[in-house]
Amino acid sequence: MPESAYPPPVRPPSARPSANRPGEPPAVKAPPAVAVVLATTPGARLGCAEGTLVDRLADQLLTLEVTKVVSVFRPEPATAREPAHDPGAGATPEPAGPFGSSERFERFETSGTAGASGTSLASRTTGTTGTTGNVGISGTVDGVKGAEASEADAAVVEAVKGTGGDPVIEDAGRVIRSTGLVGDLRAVAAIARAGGGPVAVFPGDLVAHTEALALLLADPARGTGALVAAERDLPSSASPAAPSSRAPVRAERGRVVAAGNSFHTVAEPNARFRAVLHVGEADLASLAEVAEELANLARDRRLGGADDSEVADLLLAGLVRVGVAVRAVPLGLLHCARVSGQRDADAAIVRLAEVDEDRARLAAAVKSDDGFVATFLVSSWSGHLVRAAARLGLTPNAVTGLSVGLAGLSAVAFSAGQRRAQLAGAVLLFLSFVLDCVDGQLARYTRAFSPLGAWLDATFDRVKEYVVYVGLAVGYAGGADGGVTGPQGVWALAVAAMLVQAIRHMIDFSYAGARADAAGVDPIWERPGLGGSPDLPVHGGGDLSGAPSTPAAGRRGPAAGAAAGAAVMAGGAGPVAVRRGGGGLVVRLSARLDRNTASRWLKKIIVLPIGERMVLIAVTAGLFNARVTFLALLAWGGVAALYTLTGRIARSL
Amino acid sequence: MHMTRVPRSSVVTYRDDGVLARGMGLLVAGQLPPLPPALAGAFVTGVMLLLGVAGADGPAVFAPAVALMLAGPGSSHPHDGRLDWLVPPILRLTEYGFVACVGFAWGVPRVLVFGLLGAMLFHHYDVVYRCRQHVYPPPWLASAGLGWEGRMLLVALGALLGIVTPVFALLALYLSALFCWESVTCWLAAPRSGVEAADLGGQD
Repeated sequence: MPESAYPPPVRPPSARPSANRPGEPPAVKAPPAVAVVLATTPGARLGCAEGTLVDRLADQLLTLEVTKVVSVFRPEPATAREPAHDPGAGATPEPAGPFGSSERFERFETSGTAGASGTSLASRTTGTTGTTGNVGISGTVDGVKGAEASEADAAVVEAVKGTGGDPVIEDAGRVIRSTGLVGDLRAVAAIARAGGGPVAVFPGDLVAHTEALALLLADPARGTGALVAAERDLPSSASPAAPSSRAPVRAERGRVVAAGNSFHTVAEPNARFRAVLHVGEADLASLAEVAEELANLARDRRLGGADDSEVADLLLAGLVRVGVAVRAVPLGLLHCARVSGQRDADAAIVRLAEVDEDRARLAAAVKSDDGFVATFLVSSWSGHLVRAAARLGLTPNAVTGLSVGLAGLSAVAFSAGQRRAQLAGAVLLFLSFVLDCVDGQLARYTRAFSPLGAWLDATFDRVKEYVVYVGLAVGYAGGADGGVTGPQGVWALAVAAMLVQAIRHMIDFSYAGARADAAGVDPIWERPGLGGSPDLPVHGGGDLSGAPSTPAAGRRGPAAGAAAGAAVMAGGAGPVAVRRGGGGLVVRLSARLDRNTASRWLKKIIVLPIGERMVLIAVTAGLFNARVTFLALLAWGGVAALYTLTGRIARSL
Repeated sequence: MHMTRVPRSSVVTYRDDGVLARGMGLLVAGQLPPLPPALAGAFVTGVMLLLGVAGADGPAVFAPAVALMLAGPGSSHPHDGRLDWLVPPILRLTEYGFVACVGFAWGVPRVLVFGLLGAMLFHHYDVVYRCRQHVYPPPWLASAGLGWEGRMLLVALGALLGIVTPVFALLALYLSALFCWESVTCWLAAPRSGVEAADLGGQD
């Protein structure tokens, strides 16, 4: 085996130290995020009931789990170092600043884990703002740092000292001053380099439901994700001038595949980035690299008209372009928007109250890209079950267990072979499928998803289905033993139906695995077996000066070096591998079918996803007999296999 | 916690090669494209099964050896060709089809046919679902599970010696015990939360 050609990477998660509780398996729990609040735009100082918008955001972050809050703001005297890039420089916040009172700042301190310092706001004044290269830390802060700051804070300071950039770090890393876009980006880079947990970036002029922020911050995985709103979900009242309306993205299969801003354009955007970005620990190195690169580009005026209100937009575009897998976290019914004026802010806050946050959370727990049966026959009413299960304190895994139990009962009923038992079996099977949907929704609703839960769910889906096949065959054969393969070969049919299903799954898995291997993306992002839009589009992605950018274009990790990264982000003709558009006709036909709602559903139904399978089994077994069920499964499954194979072979060529 | 290597290729992992297939792969050092021989192996196995499977002298008992000769050497290939993802499903088709046909043709009790196929299916699903959650199966598991070629050869050996039912029983017992035990112990050692979980499936 040519081992040398494939250096075996060591599984990273197990390398992390874990704090084990006695008697429990090693639980690697990622620390909560470091929240970076960019209180640099005039909108951050807009008033609301809680003071300013930044105060409001600060209160919300307090209710969520965050390691600490780092605020970035402009120095008191408007130095206007970058008139060309910082049109808002003339309107920099007043010295009173984003955090109006020291009490509020104190509350931040107590919420954090990095040690509480009482001398917070006092150290905000320093004489070094506006100077380039030589970044100084005021004496007060140094004292604080020596006494109480964590190593991570010290690292932030060191990192910023080393870059020769603009931002000035004060107060042990909790307050950063920067004079413009370049400094903001360098500050983010420094925080990312310092580590100490995932990094979340918030604009100061944000009006959002706490629940919306929790979508990213309270996610147990603490991975990389961006809040997005589907185009159709955007409130029509959103003013076109609002900063958020400038950040188009294209999201596919739960992942941001192209992101734009005033400089980077996106072909066929289908969603808007809603200004909040959360970068997991695994991607911090990429974030630092991207932020640093963007800062250099901004310094060299190579980002067009991009200004300091677009820090998160630029970072998202950069991360996507270097191939970081960014989860697209849909807002659903929740609101999260940036505002540009007092009236805008007031209206946005009023709109927040119009949404029932719990209902929105429930709606968000329903998978958006599900099959026809799951969407219309189950998810349309399963929300009540989810809420009831949450109230009863059922865990998702317990619901999975209930679902398995119901499927077992259904198999027993089918094995009796009488009409009434068949009907009972059909009902039980459908209920089992409903619970199968509920467990996933409950996991998302309570944010209790775990790798083990996902594995149990998927594995027991298979066990349930094949046990039902056996039950059906037993019921059909009854007492009469019609030879080796049972009467009319029903046992052979049962085995054939099972094997066709298993091989169809293997086609899905293998194709998804091959695509993930080729793109260098983690298979965790690939959802195999979807009929809807199973593939990344082959046309150019986020177009930037004609340079196509699909996730395949930038490989993750050190391979995407600084030079290549700069080329990707600035639109130079970098050495990027462009995914070849193959299978022309079939792919184009498939894309055309996606445009029409009816044919899109047809495409999903034809591959016989689990919901359709369960209904097919329930209906045929309830009304006819097991032989009809198996023949239907074989016929439909065969067509589905041919359809899938044709499409995937066409896409591979 | 023990460190498990991330498999270098999903597709190669899904092949589920045993010792023999990997040994043959070493001989050609990855120079043989995997898809055409795997297709040929499946085709030959299918033809032999059609020609006759019932008797000890039927040609089907030699199908596994032929399939191994054809598809085995491809195991060391990185499987990065455009259509190489077809190889694992083809190997599954060959293996499942052969085992099911021999089982039915030799009148093996149904529970044993389902038992053996069930153990094999569990293993193949388990590998995929675990890789999705970053809980990778250890490299020795494929060897201990005998690989697709090892299981087929054992079943064929049973047919040659006329002891198909005992072979099915032993294999079903051994494989289900092995795969379940290994999976459970691996999950007990895996992190419970704080890592990305692939979305709970409901669509496959």
